[in-house]
Amino acid sequence: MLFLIVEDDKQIRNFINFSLKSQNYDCMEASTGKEAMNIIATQNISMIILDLGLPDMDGIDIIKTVRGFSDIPIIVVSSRDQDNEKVEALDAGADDYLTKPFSIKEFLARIRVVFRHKGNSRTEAPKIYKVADLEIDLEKHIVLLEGKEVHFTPMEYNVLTLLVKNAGKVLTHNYILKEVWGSYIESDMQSLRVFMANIRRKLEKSPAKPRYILTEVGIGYRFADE
Amino acid sequence: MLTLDRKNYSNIIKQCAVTISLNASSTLLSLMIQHLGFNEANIVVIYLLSVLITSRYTKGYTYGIVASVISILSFNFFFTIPLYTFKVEDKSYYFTFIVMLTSAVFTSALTSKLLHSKEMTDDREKQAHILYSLTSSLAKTSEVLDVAKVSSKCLSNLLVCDISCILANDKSKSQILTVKKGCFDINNIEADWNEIEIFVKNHPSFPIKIRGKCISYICFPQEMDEMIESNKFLFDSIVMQITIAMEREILIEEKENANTETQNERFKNNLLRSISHDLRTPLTRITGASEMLYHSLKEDESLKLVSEIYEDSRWLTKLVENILSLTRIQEGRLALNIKKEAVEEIVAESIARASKYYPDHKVSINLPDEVLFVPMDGKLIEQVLINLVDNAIKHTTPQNEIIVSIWPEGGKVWFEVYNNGLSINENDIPNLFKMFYVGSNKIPDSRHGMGLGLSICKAIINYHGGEIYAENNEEGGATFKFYLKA
Repeated sequence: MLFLIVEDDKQIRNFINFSLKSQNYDCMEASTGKEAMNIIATQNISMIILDLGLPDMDGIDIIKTVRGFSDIPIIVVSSRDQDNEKVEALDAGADDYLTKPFSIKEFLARIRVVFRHKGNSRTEAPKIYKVADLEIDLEKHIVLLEGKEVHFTPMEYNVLTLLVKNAGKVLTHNYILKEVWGSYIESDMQSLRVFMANIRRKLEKSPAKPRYILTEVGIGYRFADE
Repeated sequence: MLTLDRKNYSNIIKQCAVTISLNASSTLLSLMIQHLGFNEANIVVIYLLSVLITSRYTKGYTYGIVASVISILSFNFFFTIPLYTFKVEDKSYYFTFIVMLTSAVFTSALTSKLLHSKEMTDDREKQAHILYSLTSSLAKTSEVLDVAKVSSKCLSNLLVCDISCILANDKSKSQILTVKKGCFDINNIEADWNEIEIFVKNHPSFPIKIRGKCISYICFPQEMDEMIESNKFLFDSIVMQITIAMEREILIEEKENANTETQNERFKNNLLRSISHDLRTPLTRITGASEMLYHSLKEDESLKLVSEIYEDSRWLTKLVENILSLTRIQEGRLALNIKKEAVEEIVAESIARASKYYPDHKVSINLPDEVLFVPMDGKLIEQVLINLVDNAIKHTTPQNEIIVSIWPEGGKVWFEVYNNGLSINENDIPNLFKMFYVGSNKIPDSRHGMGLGLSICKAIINYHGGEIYAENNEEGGATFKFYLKA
C-alpha cells in the first residue's frame, strides 16, 4: 500500500505520515500540486490524501485530472471555512473529506471505509446487505428492520439503496439527486429532504438520534455502516 | 395688571384729547372761514378732514366714529340756522348731515383699516427679521450647547428680555443657561428633573422635543406671557428652528460616534482575525502530533501529560474557529447560505457532534412529529446548537438531564436547550452574550473560555433575524432558547 500525502505544511505532513506508518502503510509526500501530479503519473499509488489549499494548484483540479485516468481513492483534507470546496471536491470525485483539525482515529477509520468500499465495488456487490438490526435484500427489494418488513415507496427505496450501496461514504445532495431523479434543480433539494425525513421515520427509533442515516450539514448524507 | 390698566387709561385720555382738540380746532377754522364769507360746503370739508386726521392718530374705529358724530353736532350747533341750538330749520340739512356722517364714518373706517394693516405688516416684518437672524446664527453652530447659547442670546437680543435655556444632558445632569441683559451665565447643575419641571411650569416656556424625548426647555420671563399668547405663530416657528438645529447637531454627533465605533470594531476584528489565522496551522500540528503521541505512548505518566496537551489544543482550536466565525459575522462578510433546512437533521448532527467527547452525558430530544423546514444557514445554526449543548454539558454532571426541545409557535420555530445542573449567577444573565464576558460562577478546573461561545450564538441568531434568551430554572440549571422565523 503506497500513500501519497499532498500537503504544503511540513509538520502536518509529518504527523499524517507518522500515523500512516504506524498502520504499516508506506508514504510518499508532495508539497505542491506539480510534484503530486508527477508522483501520481509515475508511481503506483493506492490512496491520495489531498489538502485543498495548495500554493500552486487548485486541489479540485488535481481531483478532476486524476479522475480522468484513474479511480485511485482520494481523501480531501481542508479547513473549516471551505465547505463549498468540499462539496465541489466530492462532486469532482473525491471519496471522502476531513475537516482540519481531525482526529487521527477518525482519519484511519475513514481510510478503512474507503478501502472496503473500493474492495466491494471490484468484487460482485452483495445481494443482501446487513447492518445492526437492518437487513436489505437488494434482489428481492425487501427491507427488514428487527426481522419485520418495512414498506418504502419506489423513490424512497431508490434513495435508500443508493445510500446503502455507498455505505460509509458521504453522498452529496447533488450526487443523490442526479442518481435518483436524473437531474438537479434547486427545488428538488426540498423534496430530497422530505424523502430523507420519511425514510428516517420508517428506519430510526428517534429521528433526531439517527442510527443509520447521518446528515452532513451543508454537504449531504452518509449511511453509517459500523 | 394694575400697570396695564393705568397704561390703557392714559392712552384713552390721550386719544380723547386728540379727538376733541381736533374737533375744536376745525370748528374754530370753520368759524373763521364763515366770517370771511366762504360757503358752507368748505366747512363740511374741513370737518371731514378733521375726522380723517382723528382716525389717523387714534387707534381703532371708535374714535373716528365719535369724531364723526361730534363733527355733525358741532356743524349743527355752530353753522345751521337757528345758530347755537341743535335745532334745524331747513330740512335739507338733514340730508347734508346724513351724507356727512356716512362719509365721515367711511373715511374713519378706511383709515383705521389701513393703519391696522400697516401695523400687521410691520409686525410680520419684525417676525421675519427675528426668524431670519435666528436661523442665520444657528447655521454656524457646531454642538447642542452651542445651539442653546446662540439661540438664547439671539432671542434675548431680539425680544429684549431675559431667557433661560435648560439642557438635559443625561438623566441626572442638566445645564441651565441664562441670558440677563445680554450677559451669559451657564450653570452646570445636577438638578432633579422634577425641580426643573416645576420651574418650567412657572414660566412661559417651550419644550424642545427630539424623537419624542424632551431634551431642552426655552423659558421666558413671566411678563412675556401676553406677547407669547398673541404671537403664537412666531414662537412656534422659533422653537421649530431651534429644534431643527439641535436635531441636526445630535445626528451629526451620533454619526461621528458610530463612525469611530465601527473603526474601532474593525480594527479589533482585523487583529483577532489575523492572530487566529496564524494560530490555526500550528494548532492543527499540535493537535495531530499530540494525538499521535497519545496513541503510540505506553508510559502512564507521559500519557497523562500528552492527553492534556491534546485536550488543550482541541479546546484552543475550537476557540480559534469561533473567533474567526465571529469576526466574519460582525463584519457582515459572512455570506449567509440561507436554505430551507430540515430542523431534525441539524439538531441530530449538532447533538451528535457536541456529545461526541462526552459519552456519559445523556442528551434527550423533543421533536415535533412533522418535519419542520426553516430557512437558515445550516452550518451556522449547527454551530449555535453545538455551543449551547456543549455549554450545557460543561455545567452538568452525567447524572443531570439535558433536554433539547424544538417546537413551532406562531410563525416562529423555538429551539431550547435545558439542563438541571449548575445555575447561572443572576448578575451574569444580562452580560452572558457579550463578547469576552467571563461569568463569575467559576467552575473549578474548567476552561471557562472567553464567553465567546455564547456571543457567537447571539451574533448568528441575530444575523438570522431571531433572538436568543437565557434564564435560570427554578429547580436549578439553566435554559437557553432562541427562535428563528419559519
